[in-house]
Amino acid sequence: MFAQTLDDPLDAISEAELARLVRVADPLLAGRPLLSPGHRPTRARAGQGVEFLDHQEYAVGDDLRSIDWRATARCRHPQIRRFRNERAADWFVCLDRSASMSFVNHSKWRLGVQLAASLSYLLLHLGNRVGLMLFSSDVDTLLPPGRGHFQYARVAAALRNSAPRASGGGSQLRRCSRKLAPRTPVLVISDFLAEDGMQTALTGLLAAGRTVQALQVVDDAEVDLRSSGTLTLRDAESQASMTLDLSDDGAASAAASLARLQDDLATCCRSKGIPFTACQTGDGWKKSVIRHLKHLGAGDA
Amino acid sequence: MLSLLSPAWLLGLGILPLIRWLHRFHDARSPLPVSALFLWRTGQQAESAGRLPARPDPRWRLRALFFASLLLTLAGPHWNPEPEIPIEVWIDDSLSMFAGESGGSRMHTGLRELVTSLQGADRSIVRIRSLSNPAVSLQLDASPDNDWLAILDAWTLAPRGRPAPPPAVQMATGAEHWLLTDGADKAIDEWLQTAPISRVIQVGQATDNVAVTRLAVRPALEPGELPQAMVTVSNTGEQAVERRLTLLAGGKKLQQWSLSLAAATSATRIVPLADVSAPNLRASLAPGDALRLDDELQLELKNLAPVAVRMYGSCGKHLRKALYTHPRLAVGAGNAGSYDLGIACGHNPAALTGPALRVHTPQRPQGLKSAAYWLSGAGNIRWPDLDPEWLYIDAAQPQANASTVLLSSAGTTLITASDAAQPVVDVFLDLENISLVRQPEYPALVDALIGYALNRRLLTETIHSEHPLAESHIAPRPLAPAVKYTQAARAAAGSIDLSPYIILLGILLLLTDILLVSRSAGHAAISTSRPG
Repeated sequence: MFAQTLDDPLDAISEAELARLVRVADPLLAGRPLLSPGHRPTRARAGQGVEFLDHQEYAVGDDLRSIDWRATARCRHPQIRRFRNERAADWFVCLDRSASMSFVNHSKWRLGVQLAASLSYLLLHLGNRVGLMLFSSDVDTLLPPGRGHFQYARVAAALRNSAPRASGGGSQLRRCSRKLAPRTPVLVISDFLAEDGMQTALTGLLAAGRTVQALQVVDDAEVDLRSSGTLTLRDAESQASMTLDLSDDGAASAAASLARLQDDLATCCRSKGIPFTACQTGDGWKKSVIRHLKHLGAGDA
Repeated sequence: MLSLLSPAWLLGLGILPLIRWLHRFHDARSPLPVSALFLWRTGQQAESAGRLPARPDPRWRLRALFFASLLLTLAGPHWNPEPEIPIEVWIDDSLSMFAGESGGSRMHTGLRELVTSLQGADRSIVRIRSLSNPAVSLQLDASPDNDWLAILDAWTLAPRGRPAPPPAVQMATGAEHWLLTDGADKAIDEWLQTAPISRVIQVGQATDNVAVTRLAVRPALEPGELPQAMVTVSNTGEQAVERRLTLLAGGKKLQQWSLSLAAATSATRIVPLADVSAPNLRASLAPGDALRLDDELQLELKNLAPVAVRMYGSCGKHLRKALYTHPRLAVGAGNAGSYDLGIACGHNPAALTGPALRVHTPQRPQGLKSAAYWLSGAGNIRWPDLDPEWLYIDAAQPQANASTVLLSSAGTTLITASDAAQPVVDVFLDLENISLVRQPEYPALVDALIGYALNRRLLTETIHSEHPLAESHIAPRPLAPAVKYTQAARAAAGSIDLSPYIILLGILLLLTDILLVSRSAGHAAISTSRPG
């Protein structure tokens, strides 16, 4: 059991709901289920490896070199050999803990933590190894990949003991690239509030043959100042300040800038094959996870 | 027409630029943290650190409006659909205003000046009030045919007594108050400290005056004595004067004195009055001074004559003796139709109209068993103390139907009186009983009964006439300057006070400002809070 407080974002997550989500996530995160004759589906992943996994009927597009002729002779149908894909199972969840994630009233941070925890749970229950990386201007926390319930407990404890930075620091996702091995699947959870929408960093992650998924945490209230007159605004991360006259439609232009940033990011992700989901804080973690899984399913289709 | 009671408050509007300037500092001191500054950055706004905003917080307009509404409320705005307000003139019609000076009496001089001022003020509603008797008033008609001076001269023919100014709160608030006075009475100066008088017309310069302030006669009570006449003369001026005082009895010179009076002193002279039949006594001073009305004083001597008493029925000898020996009574004088006091005696005395004394003679006298006491209805007459052993009443006492009981004993009515102004006194005591007659209180009781019926104290009274000394002061005092209450009067004269509406507007502005501030503060608190 973990120590729980009233402010703990993980209190909103129940393992029963996560277990139900596992059935939905199984085909979406792992591809086709592995069916061995006389056995229930296993959660092992097929791919490149040396460890034999099972046989499967040949389908158009399969590599002819993987046909097991002995098995084909026994079954009178073409059978191919499949091997356990060990490298693809080491997922990393990268959660942004820069100062901008503390807005609005920690709602973005709460949702980010809940998404990180729930997706880690799903990946772990699908047999993957999951690691956790909390980053801001640098990698602040690194939890190596692990497998099983104990790893989820470690992930949850790391999330519980973390908080977004009070001030300073930027969302430097490229710092995470140096800590990640090539071809490692990465799940990035951030508000992507950088002037380039962190597109450069995302592209950098893809460069080493990694698989990247992006979840943007958004709260529209952060551009609603609920005030009037002339205000001096201070950037929570860079501490730069600026005078703004709200009578000049400053609030409306900020909302438009945020929307434009989201559109550019979504377009970039779509063009680079990165599954992207914008998660509103008001929607809650469950709805956001399901929407992301749907995006994955649509990508598969 | 919009009017302001205190327009000086509007000078505070000069602070409005200061309010605007102060609002340039507000938000520079408390920057609002945001998650990403570049979202707000446009071409027109440059990043700055610690620099004052180019423009003040627009909420300064709201606060300036609130401040302006506060000042406007303090200025006392009124909407006056009828700009003309009436003038109420308080005329000091005390004795000193009738002092003669060059050009006529003070009153006439003041009235002339008043009429000129009223015509200059061009008001159609003018009320004249007496300061000595505020209930006496006069409404002046604005018709051009009316001669206001003649009307006012006729209205102020004689003094109405000492000034009795009304309290300030009882004065009409919807009128402009003027005052015509010579300022001789101290009460007027004190009244001006609080009264909303907008204009004071002060007349008079003379300060010296000598007055006959008292003329009195004490009746003679002993045989061979003469009544004593006394006259008092007072110098109320500021210089020593010499006067010749002449006392006339029935028009004949009784005595003459030459008096030298220092300032603020009095002299009294006493002389026996030989001619008691004279109808009046008159004292006069010569030569005359500014105020002639108090240079002469006359006293009617009608009350100096003995009281004519007429008896009806069989009055006892002791009662007769007491009446005959009373020094102020003339028993048997007058005829049946004209007497001062009627006395009826007998078991069932004749009915008389007051003033009268009815003595009920008991048929079967019996003594009292308990003490007799005078009741409060007996008034201020000095009644003698009566021992119950001296008092006898009829065993079958007739029912008394008078409403005022004077003397009673254990529920038994002994002396009663009717409630009329000239009462009929019914006596149920046995006034012929020897135990009472022998007492020295007996003549005192008879005198008290007659005094009650006549409402006079025959043995101690003096006949007098006087001028109040304070009324004879004619030296004008410097008065406090009048304050303009015209705007206040206009505001009260049927105008609408706009202050509540402006206060309501100010409250709405304040609530709006509080709402905006709380929203900003709430958002700032949400934005800056961090998880623990």
